[in-house]
Amino acid sequence: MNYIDVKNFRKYEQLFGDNGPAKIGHVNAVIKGLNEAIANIPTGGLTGSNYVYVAADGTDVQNAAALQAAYVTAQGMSPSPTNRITIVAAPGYYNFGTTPFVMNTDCIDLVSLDGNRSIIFNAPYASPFYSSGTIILDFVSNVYVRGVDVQTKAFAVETYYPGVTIENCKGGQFSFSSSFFNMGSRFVDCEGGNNSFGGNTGNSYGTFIRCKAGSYSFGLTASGTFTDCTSGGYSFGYNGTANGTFTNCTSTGSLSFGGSYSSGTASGTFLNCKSVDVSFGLVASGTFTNCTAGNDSFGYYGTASGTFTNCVGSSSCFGYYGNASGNFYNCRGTFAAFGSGGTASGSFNSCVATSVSFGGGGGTLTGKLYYCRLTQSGQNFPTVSGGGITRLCITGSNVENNQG
Amino acid sequence: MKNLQSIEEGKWVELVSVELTDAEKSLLASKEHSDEKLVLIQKIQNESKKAVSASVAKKANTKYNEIKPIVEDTDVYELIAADFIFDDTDFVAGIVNYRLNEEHKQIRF
Repeated sequence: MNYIDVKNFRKYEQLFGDNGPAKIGHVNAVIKGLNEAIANIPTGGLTGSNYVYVAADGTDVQNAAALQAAYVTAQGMSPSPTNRITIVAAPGYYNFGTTPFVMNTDCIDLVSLDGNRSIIFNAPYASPFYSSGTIILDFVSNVYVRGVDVQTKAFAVETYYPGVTIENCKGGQFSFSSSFFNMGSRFVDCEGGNNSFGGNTGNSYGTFIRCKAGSYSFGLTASGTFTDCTSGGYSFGYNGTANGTFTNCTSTGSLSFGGSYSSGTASGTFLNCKSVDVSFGLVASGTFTNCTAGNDSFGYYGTASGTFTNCVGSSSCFGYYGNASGNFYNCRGTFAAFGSGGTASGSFNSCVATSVSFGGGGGTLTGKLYYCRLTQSGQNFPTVSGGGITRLCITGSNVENNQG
Repeated sequence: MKNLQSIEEGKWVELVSVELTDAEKSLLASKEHSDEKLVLIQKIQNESKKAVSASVAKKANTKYNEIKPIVEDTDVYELIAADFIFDDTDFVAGIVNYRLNEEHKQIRF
């Protein structure tokens, strides 16, 4: 085959002159050369020193067989940290039937040719859901996978090593998760269904960036680093512990970020996070900045002992019937907030509630209130005790309140 | 695997799941405040923390002291929570949330 230097048109021009037919001739020669190159590609794809190409030019079953063969080929190429082998798979459907595609060898990566989720495992959802026709990362510690979509099946990650990175992949429920493994790997732009990314059984201590999941996801213990992640309810340490780093994360359902009616803890750092009811810990001891939740949040019946800045709750928030002992700056609740029926013993600066708050729901006010306000007409601050003070606070009747 | 937690230096508990009855779940989810609800929450919180053996606590303390930040006399150190995963022989992973001079920091391993 003659090689044509696409960039070096001048060479062609010197032979045939600078005219339209010469240019067309050059282009035709390039196309002819490429066609010859494509025709000479061996069946099953190209193989280089450090890659194996899967053309995906057969049926979905044949494509799956070719991918499996490529993996075997890669295993035979002595993969190691200094000799990584990448399987590049062309966009297409790969039907593994009821058997899984198991990646169990370190330093063999799998990426889609176009970077998109175009390696589509299209075998129908079948039992057992965690292995039929899907992908399994089997206890590997150094692998990169990008662009795999297993549709509604579980994208099985049965490993926890931080050297594993999964990017732009998608699965159904119980993806990127296993009841037997904690999630310590790195996940970027991945999407799963319910019970994903550690589900609600494991410890999700890895790194999660722009990941999406359904309910009961991101760990019983969420101690990883979560950035721009989204889930349904019962996530990010539901009924467990949210002690990681959470930035711009959202739960569209209730009982998240250590949320629980009975035993959750939110001891991590939370920046620009959003949830709805019963969220951010029965014990809210972490640092919360610009966070928003619904009713019964930020300590609810337990303890709001953390640092809260520009946080917004609704009713029964910020240590409702427990102890609001933390530091609160510019936070807002509605009815029965800030240790309403329990103890408001913390420091409250420029905080606002509508009514029955700051120990005013039958509780006690032993903390320090500066520039705080009750907005519902007729509402007043309770009488302070035990060293409590109020300074420049405004009652629901627009009367300045200073006690202690 | 055990989830060990300390919110006070030197004291460790194992966090365990507590199975709830449907009636208990209903009570917890009810919007009304009641003393019964308070008692139940307290009971669940107590049951969700299990004592650890002295040997496990000693190992946890050793690990905690290994990774704990160096604190100067003038620093104000506040442990928020140390959470370690223990697989019966060694610590698999862990995180310490703490405040040093009121700044929230984390140490992971």
